[in-house]
Amino acid sequence: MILKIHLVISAAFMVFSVQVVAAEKLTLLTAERQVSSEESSHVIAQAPSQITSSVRVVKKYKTKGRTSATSKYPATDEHTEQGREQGKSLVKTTLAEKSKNEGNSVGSAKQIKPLLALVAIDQKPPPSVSPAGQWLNKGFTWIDDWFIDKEVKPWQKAKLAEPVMSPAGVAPVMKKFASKIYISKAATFGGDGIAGGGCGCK
Amino acid sequence: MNKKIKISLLSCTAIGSGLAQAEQVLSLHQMQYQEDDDRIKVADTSLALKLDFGVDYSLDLSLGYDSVTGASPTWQIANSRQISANEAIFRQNELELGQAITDETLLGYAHDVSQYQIQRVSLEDTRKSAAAALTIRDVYRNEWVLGLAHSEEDDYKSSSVSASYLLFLDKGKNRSVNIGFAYLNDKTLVFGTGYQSRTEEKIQVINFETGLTQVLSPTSVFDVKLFFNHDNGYLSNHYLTILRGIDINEDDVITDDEYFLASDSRPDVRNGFGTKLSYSTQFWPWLTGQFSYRYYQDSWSINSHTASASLSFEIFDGVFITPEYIRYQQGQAEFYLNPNVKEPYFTASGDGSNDTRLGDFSADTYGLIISYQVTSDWQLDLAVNRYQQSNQFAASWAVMGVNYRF
Repeated sequence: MILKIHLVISAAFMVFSVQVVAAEKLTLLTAERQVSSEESSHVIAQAPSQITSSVRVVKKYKTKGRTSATSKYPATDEHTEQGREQGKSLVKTTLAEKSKNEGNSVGSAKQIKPLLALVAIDQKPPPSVSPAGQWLNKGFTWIDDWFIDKEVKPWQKAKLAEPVMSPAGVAPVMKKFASKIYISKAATFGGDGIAGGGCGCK
Repeated sequence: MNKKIKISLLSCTAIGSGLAQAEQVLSLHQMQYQEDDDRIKVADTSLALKLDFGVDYSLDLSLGYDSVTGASPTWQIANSRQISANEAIFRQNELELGQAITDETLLGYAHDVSQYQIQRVSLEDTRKSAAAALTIRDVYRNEWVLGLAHSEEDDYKSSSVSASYLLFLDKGKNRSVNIGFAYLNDKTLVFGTGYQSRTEEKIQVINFETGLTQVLSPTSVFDVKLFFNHDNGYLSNHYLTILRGIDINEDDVITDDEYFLASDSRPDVRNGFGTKLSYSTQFWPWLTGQFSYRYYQDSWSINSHTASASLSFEIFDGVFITPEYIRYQQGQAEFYLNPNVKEPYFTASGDGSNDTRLGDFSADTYGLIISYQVTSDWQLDLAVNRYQQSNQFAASWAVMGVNYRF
């Protein structure tokens, strides 16, 4: 009787062990497939001869909405293209130096196992000025020469963005009411925005 | 100023100088307008909703309802309702004789010029309006604003479409150009001869405006605008009247029995243009000043100068008090005649108006606006204004309203 109990327990233990081993193998296989699929979708994967490490942890940074917005950016932007090329070369240089320092004795880059691989950002930053704006701005550069001491940076515009600095002030509707009165009590108008704004009070 | 507003302001600075805030605002305001001497009273209510859809789209909707009551002064025939039947027939015959000589609309006749008097004519009207404006921002943060507006009164309808484009010129978004265009198609019911008929007349208006905005420093902005207005159609005011002398007996002399009550008559085309300069600066975090000057000139020989100045004091956290002063100076239209001169009569044909709004006058406006940010969601607005023209006309108005951000 005791022997039978031992046999049953032993059999159950063996079955459990086999299941655990199978699960571990399945996990490893899945992880490898994920890594390879990520690599294949990435820019660096397009140049596999430059980066030959077999196992890499790829960390992606994605901003909400960036992917969908990317398609709207212009196809060419020389500054961004330069930056991307510099980024690629930086990755190449870094990995090559790491290979040289650590893998000289072995002579193979396959032994490099960086915890975090540098990746080039394949998405362009938002362009700042439209071509029409750039072209038109050429006619106003004299303003910079005559009146502007120092360019105001975006992070210096908190005060400019306050409602009190807007043409209509902190209570924009007051201007709207006043404009209706001035239009009906005087003979001139203009300069406060086009008439389609909804006054309709002429 | 509370933290939530500061955060939203800081975040919108990244957008540039578009001054857009990613928030939804529902506002309700009521204006009470009262002219001195118990002339015209207006109660105007405005409901507005501003919706931001992400950072690329904004929608502004507004509804308005206003009622006008009171009386407006214009030439009338004294005791015209207390005349005999024979007198009425006589007047009608004379009116037809006069109308046969001139193309201008004649409205009445009295056999003696002394019977024409400036009287107050009572009026009552309501106006309903609706407007929508969609703002679309592209990847460069340039903005398209597309607008529709419509309003209706008992005798006036107005519909308009508009489009404007804001184009940033530099990387720092410190310089921008704005181009705007609007087209209005209006219809009005006009009195015919002797007030015995009404016909529908059209008015078409085109507005064009362009401007340059330049950020000068972290606390100051300068703006210059050029604008052009083209009005075409029935531009007269059919409620206003004038006196015309018509030589019925063709003796080359206008006698006292040859004056007629006629409708206000203005040219069918008016082209106006002008420029406006604006400067805003924050002297200290608690004191902001706004100053502007506008010049206007049109084909009716009207010109005007408008200078305004306002100072906004943030006396407590979220409490703004803004005193404002506006000085206005206008030159008269070439066909205007002051109704208070000794012989304010026009010839049988040609443009003519006694509308003092087309005259030579100056005006001063003194205003005070108080805005109180009660909580991060609620804001109360209050304004009182006093308006006084050099020709004895004066009016006051007050506005009270609430804004809810969500």
